[in-house]
Amino acid sequence: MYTLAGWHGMKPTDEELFAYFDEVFSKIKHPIAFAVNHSMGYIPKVSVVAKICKKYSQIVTVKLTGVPDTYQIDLMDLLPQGQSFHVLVPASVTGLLLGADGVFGSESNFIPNTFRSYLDAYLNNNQAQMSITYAHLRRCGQFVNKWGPSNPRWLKMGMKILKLPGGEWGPRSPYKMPDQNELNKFTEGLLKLNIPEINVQAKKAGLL
Amino acid sequence: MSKITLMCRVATTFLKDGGIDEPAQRKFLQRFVDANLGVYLGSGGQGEGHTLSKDELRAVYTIGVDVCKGKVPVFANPPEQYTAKSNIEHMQLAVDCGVEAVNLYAIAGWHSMRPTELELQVYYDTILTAIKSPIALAAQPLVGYTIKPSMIAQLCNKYPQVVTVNLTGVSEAYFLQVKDLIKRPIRFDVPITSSMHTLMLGATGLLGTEANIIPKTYRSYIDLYEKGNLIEANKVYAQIRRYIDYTAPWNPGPIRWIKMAMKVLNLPGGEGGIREPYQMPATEELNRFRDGLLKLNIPEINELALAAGLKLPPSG
Repeated sequence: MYTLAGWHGMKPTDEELFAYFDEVFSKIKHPIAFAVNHSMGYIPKVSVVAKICKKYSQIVTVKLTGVPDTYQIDLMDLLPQGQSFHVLVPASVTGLLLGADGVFGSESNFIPNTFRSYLDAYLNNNQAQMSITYAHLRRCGQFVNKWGPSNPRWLKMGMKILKLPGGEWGPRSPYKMPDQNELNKFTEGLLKLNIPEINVQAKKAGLL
Repeated sequence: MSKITLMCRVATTFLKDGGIDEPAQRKFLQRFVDANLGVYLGSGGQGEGHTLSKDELRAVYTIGVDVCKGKVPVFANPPEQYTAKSNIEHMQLAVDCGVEAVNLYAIAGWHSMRPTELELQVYYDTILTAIKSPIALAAQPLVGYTIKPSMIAQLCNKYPQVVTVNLTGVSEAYFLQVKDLIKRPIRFDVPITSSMHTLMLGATGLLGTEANIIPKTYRSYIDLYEKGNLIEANKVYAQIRRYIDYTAPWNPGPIRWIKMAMKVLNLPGGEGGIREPYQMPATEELNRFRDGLLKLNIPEINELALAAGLKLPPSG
């Protein structure tokens, strides 16, 4: 669950955030992944997030996007030991070492096995494999971000050129599938990354 | 007859139970008619449009048209939307209610959506092909990103129904770039801040949030400017700027301080307060806000305060 959408210049006060979550969590008792995400237009104070997490036991994990590692550290200081945190790939090495127990990343939409392999390497303390797979994930992330900052555009481009299920029809408006020239540029760049899982899929799609 | 249009994105008034307070809305709008200011109804910010159902938006537009049409410009400012389809539905609703023009924002940049030029072009073409009524095109970066001046100009040149460009949140240089690229006469509405410059550069209208509380001060500023009495106009401008600076800590969503001021000054609808997700601050903060507001010593605020039974602080 995201924090209040910061539409049209709305930046909530602490009291407004508390009132919002009190209303939602008094009705929704299902397990919640609580998302701190800069794309809402603001980052709530650590103390506010900690207070909400302590108050509502249905919050089972805190997802951290677009915040520095000190945000996780400060939250850990305020929350009971063992609190679950999920972090983004670019922050994951530090985040995992600090105690995060989950990693999320949109790149896994087309390289899920690489993602799995990265986490397996971490769990097996295989630093060499971890460093290889982390680099694959980051290279992929850095490349596709040219079509960002939001994900649907490059995701659907990747799905299309790699002929993944559902890739044929593209994103919904307001997003538009770029023209063939740009798709070709995307294809060439993606293949140049030489990520094994992409190569396998590209071969299947007749690209290599 | 004033050549410069003054427009305000007006607040929506609510009852204590959260419903729309129609009698208060009518009285609130009458203040703009009396001060000869045009209104934008149901804005996503000041009009709390994102909290209004379609039926409530219809009510806000209908009341606004009834009170203002034929007296001052009455435009709609539908809350920004993510898709052209949704925007067309909202805009058509406003047109059907009889507003004179409808504001059009760019694609709402929600969840990091930053449109490509192609995506923006398709969005605008879809809307401006469907809606032929007069349009106020907003360059407002509040949607999450800045639209290129060339895109704004191109749309103005291509679609004759665009009657106004709203230039809130962009620079003077942006205004000049747009102005230089548009090939036909069109209205340019700019914010009050630095308006002495932009008016001299060719802006033909002013947009002001603060006019929700001090509409007559805005009117006075423009009247003095149009008479060429720049010394007195600057004095009034300073009052407005002091007001802007004072309320800034309760921004960036201005509706918080608008509803606080409406409450402490006992303006129509002030008692009903604000809709969630905003919350009216505690009494202590309201008192602090009121005391600071009165210390500004702005004649129109003083007049409102006296009418509300408040005691003015000793001046000087």
